Order: sequence, then structure tokens, then C-alpha cells
Amino acid sequence: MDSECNTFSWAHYLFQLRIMITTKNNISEFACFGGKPLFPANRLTALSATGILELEDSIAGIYDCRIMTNDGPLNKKMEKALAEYHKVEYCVSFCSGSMATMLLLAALKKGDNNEVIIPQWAYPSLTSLVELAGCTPVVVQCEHASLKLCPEGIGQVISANTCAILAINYSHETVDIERLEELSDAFNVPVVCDSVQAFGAVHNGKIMGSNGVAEVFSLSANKAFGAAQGGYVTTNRESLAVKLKSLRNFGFDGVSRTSHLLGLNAKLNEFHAALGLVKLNEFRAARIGVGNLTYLCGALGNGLPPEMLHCRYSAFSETIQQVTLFLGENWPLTPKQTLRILESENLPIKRLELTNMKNHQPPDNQFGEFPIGYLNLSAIQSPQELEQVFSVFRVLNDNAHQIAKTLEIQ
Amino acid sequence: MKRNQGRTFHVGQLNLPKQSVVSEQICGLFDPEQQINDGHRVKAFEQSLAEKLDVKHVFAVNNGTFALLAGMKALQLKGEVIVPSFTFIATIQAIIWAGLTPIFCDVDEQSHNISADTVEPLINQNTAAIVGVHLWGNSCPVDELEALAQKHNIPLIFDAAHAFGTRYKDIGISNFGLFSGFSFHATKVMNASEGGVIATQYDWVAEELRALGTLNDYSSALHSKAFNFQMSEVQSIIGHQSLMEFEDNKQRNVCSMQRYKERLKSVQGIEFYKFSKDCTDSNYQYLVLRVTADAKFTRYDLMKGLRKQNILARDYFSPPIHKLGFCREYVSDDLGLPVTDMLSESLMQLPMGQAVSMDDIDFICDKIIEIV
Repeated sequence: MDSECNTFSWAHYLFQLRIMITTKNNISEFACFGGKPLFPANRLTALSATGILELEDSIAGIYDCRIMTNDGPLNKKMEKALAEYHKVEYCVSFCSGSMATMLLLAALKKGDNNEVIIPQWAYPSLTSLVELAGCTPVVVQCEHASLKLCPEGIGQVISANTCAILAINYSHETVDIERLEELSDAFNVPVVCDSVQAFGAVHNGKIMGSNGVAEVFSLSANKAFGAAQGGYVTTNRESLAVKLKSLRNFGFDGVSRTSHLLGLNAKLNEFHAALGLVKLNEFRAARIGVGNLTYLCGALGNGLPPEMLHCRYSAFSETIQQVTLFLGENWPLTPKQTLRILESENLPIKRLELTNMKNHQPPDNQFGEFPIGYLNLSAIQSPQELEQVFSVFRVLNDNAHQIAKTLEIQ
Repeated sequence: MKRNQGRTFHVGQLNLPKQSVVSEQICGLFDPEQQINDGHRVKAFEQSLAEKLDVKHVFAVNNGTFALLAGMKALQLKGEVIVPSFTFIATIQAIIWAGLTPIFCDVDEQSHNISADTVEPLINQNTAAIVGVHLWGNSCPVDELEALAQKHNIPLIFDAAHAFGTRYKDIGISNFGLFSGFSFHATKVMNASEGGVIATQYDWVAEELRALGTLNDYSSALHSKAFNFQMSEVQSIIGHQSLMEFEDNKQRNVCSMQRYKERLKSVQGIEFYKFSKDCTDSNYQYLVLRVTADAKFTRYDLMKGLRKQNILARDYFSPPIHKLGFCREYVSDDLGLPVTDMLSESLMQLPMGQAVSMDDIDFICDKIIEIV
């Protein structure tokens, strides 16, 4: 990828790009102040004409074999493709990422040993998923700058009642899996990763998917790679994959029609699997690689000092789900003001919505508690889109005082 | 070539909504002018469902199990739930996943549904709710169950997974109880490949459901319990087309059912399921028959014989749920459910739906007559 950067004239490319696409150049163009939004509202990432044809073929196949759900051929095919992508033995699809997480924890529960260690800052529904799984959340501090689960904190709460450590991988930072696995080995407690935001990320040369005992990914509509809904678990453990497949299908064992496990219906239907397969092909073909992205983030953000705004992502491989933009302390607008402008432009961007798992409250100040300055830029499919996003930031930075005043008046 | 050679007949409707419409609309989701994340198709589908079901509030969800589970979580129930064992496994699993304890009750021999007589002896101070199941699309005795629930001040809930389109005394079935949970699984006459719906007449139940599904409303008391159970836009496209075709599919079911009954009326030892007189309409998606005690053949023999012909008749619900491994902790050694046990040993379902023509029904009936 680096060699591509060296041989390609990015400066010329970006110059052409800025001529060809709609960008924001002054504040009167902002949707908030009467302009046209940069993106259509809530758009799903587009499919190519070839992708549409593939999707039509897959839907025709569903009608030919008359299987719309229940572990049909497209689900099996998608699971195989994703297992290959993540370089793991098994992938098990679910109707949502939430259900993937919930049933994974349920599968790891051992009798009364049902405590799950979770990070203090996490997405709002995490504790309810842990509790739905019949487990008890035990909250551990995160490292301040990275949001990573703090291994020292785990050591203080891990016990014989712990059935799992659930760590969250972000687009900007993956967990210190080696440290967590040391703890896992020492206490014989499995580590699982919620990698919903880290699809495509690489840690120490290894693509996300094979860390810990299992990892959870999302296929929801707002992801660059998705299936308009769904989720999946990756694992190298055959027994866990078999158990998860049973749990998602009412606990049926796949041979008899008898269920001895407490399962439920968490199956992904064949239409979503068809979408997932097409999107995976397209996503991989797009190859918005780490080399290109690093260059683009640097070049397009030109004029914005890194202490004010910078992109963060861990070492990504050939694909990237999303980047995290960090509004530094010198950023001239409040996160609330910034988000108001960004949202009115329908930018594929939102605050990293994290809740304090201890009290179920959002961060309560602007920059003191870290998550509020983090913005997730998702579903970016092309350098053109990235350039459009950065054009907004440039105008925001250049006209911050005027924008703040105008928003105040509004 | 022998008649129907090589074909397999399944129980379950497998009514595929019109392909051209479904395909065009799903592919249309990727038109840059189209939207997906705000769920406007889901909202339109919910509105159509509310009109069809004649009910005030409707929430489209990802499947029928979650219709019950989310509904019970929204009511914030705690304790025991009286429920029939003679039902699909999901009814009981939803109760357990909601953190509640199932208390199994027996059913009426004719309707296969619970009644005030089977429920009342089980009511105690720990009873959090009664869950009635409108089995086979036949309505429970709603009036007497509502009176019983009111008398003991216990919430009444209905599993209406089988009962889309069912009417009790000419009133839409989702008008009864605090809420009803419907299933739109691929094998239902009304399907969204997977999917379901929660229907309620009560504003306060609807409010609680909205709060449960809203992940970022920190002011809600249910905030920390919230989770994602919403139907996808793709499911709503399939569901909406299926809804358009519902009446035609229902009519086909009526004709198929009549054909089965006509062809097998003289077979001794087979008794067809009858809807209760207060059930004034249904979807007729299940052809349920009982092998009676005086039959000269067993259900096992009949099913085995049909299976050899690739006719996959099913012995629903066998074994009954209270005998399954995961229910062991909820069942006492002396639990007696004689009607449930009898039904689970004698009932079976025959193939129905879009893929089963009148000729196919004649073929299946010929084979049944040969076997018995």
C-alpha cells in the first residue's frame, strides 16, 4: 500500500478531487444556515451496478430454493467468507450484534459463575445485554486516553465467579490483548472482544477476529461493511461455534428436534446474508487501505493542527470500517456546536456514544471526561467522501467565532 | 414419471411474497436517494399492520420471540408466569430470558388452549402474569381469562404467534390483554422471512416499549435495560408485500383445509382440529389432526409412512416443553399435565401453503389412506 502512495500523485489527485465534488467553502453553505446538506439523510452506503446485479441473483436464489431463514445456504456462505476474512475457523451469524454479544456471554456462563467484567465506558445497552444473558456486570476502569479496559483494574475484581472478560476494540485503539490473555490464562477466565467498531483493524500484524476466545462484529446498516442488519461471532473453538449455532436456533441441537439448551430465535435471514456477501465483496474491492488513508487524513486535514483535530485508528489492513476524529482542547468550538453543524450536513459522523456503566449516565463535561471529544466517522467509502467531510471541518475552524455567535442567536 | 416423485412436502406455509416487488425494493435500498436508517419503511409497515389488526399501537420487531421478550421486559414483570406447556418452545424461552419463572398449566382438550379452569388453581402471590397462547390461530377463551386476570389483578398477555388475522367475537385478537406478540417467521402465513410484532391498545404499554427500545434516552427509567429489538427495513419490505398477499393466502388455506377434510372424512381414527365458536375468523395456516384412541394405526406409523413419501408431517409439540432439559429446574416431579401429554402423543400437522396444490393434497391424502 505504501508503494502505491509513493507512485501515485496524491497532490494532483486531491486537486482534481476538490474540483469535481461538492464541498463546503464558507459558512453560508452550511445546512444549519440555509444551505443544502452535504449528504442525503441517513444514507446507506451505495452498491455498484455489479453489486446490485449480484444481489438480484442472490434474491432469485432464495426464491428458487425456497429457504428464507433457518441457517440457509447464503448464511453458510457468508459465514465461510467472513471466517476466511478474519482468518478464523468459525463464524456464526446472528440477527444483530446485540444478540451475538448476549448469546456469546450466555454460552460462556457456568452455573452460578456469571460475572462479566466490562469497561466503565461502553455503549449504552451493554449492561442490559449482560443482564439479559443472565450474567452480572462488574465494571472496571478504562485507561483515560484510549478507553481501553484497564488490566490492573481487572486484577482487582476477577474471581471464581467471573465467567468472562469483555473488552471493547475501537476504531482508534485495540485492546492490549496480550495482557488480557495473560490474565485469562492465570485465572482461567475467557476474554471476548466486542470489535463492532474495529472491523478490518490489525493488532500486531493480526487482523481482528481471532483475539481471545471470540470476537463480536456488527452487520448493521450504519456500518461501511454491513448487511443492513445483523451481527456475527468469530472464534477458533469448534465447541463454542456449535453451541452458538444451537443457541441462536432455540437451543435445537441440529440433529433431533429436541432442545436441552435455553436458546432463542436470533437467526439472520437469508436476505440479510445476501446483502452481507455482496457488501463484503464491494468493501474489499474498495481497498481504502491504511497507507492511502493515512495520507488522505494528513493531506485533507491540512491546515488543522493535530492538537486541534486528528484522525485516530489503529494499524488497519486493507479495509477500514471507520476512523475516530478527536477534537482536541484547542478546537475552537464546543463538541455540541460542532456536532450540530455536522449533523445538519448529514455527515456520516456521530459522537462516540458511550455511557458510564457505573451510573448509566453520559459524559458530563466537555473535555475532562474523554469520550465527548471523540467523533466516529463511519461508512466512508471513498476519498471523495473523506474530502467532503474535511471541507466542513476546515470552514468550521476558519470561522469558529462567527459560527459560535450565530448558533447562539439561533 | 411417478406422481410427485422427488418432491418434498413441508409443514409450514413458505408463502414467498412476490419476488419482483421484494427484489426491486431491497435493491432500491441502495439508491442514493433512498434512506434506510430512519426506518421509514418499518414505520409505514407498522401503520399498515395497525390498520389490519385494528389496534392502536404496533411495534415491528426482529422476530416473534423478541415480541414476547421485549413486551415482558417493558412491563418490568418479576416472579412467576402461568403459561401452557403445549406451545412452541419460544413462548417459554421468552419468559425465561425475561428473568421470569414459567409455571406450566394444562390446556383444554378441545381448543388446546388455556382456560380459567386450568389457570386459576396456579395463581398465587408470586404470579406476575398469565400468558395465553392462541394456538393454531384459534382464540383463547378471552372473556373468561380477562375476568380472571382482573379478579386477581394480574397482567394478561397473549402469544399470538399463530394468530395473525384471528378475531374473537368479531373483534381483532390484539385488542385483548396488555399486549399480543405475533410471529412473522418464514413459515407463517404472514411472514417477513423473520420478524414479529407487538400490538397493544394501551398507551402506557406503548410508552414503556418505546423507552425500552430507545438506547440513548438517559431520562428514561428503562434506559439501563434498553436493547435493540427493531425490525430491519429489509424485513419490513418482505413483510409489507406478505401483508398485501395475506387475504389470498388465507383463502388458499381455507380451500386446502376443506380439501383435506373432505378427502379424509371417512378415515377412522383421524379427527380434525375444530376452532372454538367464539373464534370468528383466523388464517387457517395449520392443518392439525389427532390420531384418536380407537385408530387401528399409530401416529408414529402414519408419520413414518408419510416420511417415506417425502411428506414431512410433524408431531407438534412433542415432547411438550415442560419435559425439555432446560425446563427441568421449573418443573416439580409431581407435575401432571394429562391433556398436554395426551395431545403431544397424538397430534400431527400436514403440509399446507403456497407450495402445496390441490393435486398435492390429493396425493398426500391418497398416501394417508394407503398407510392406514
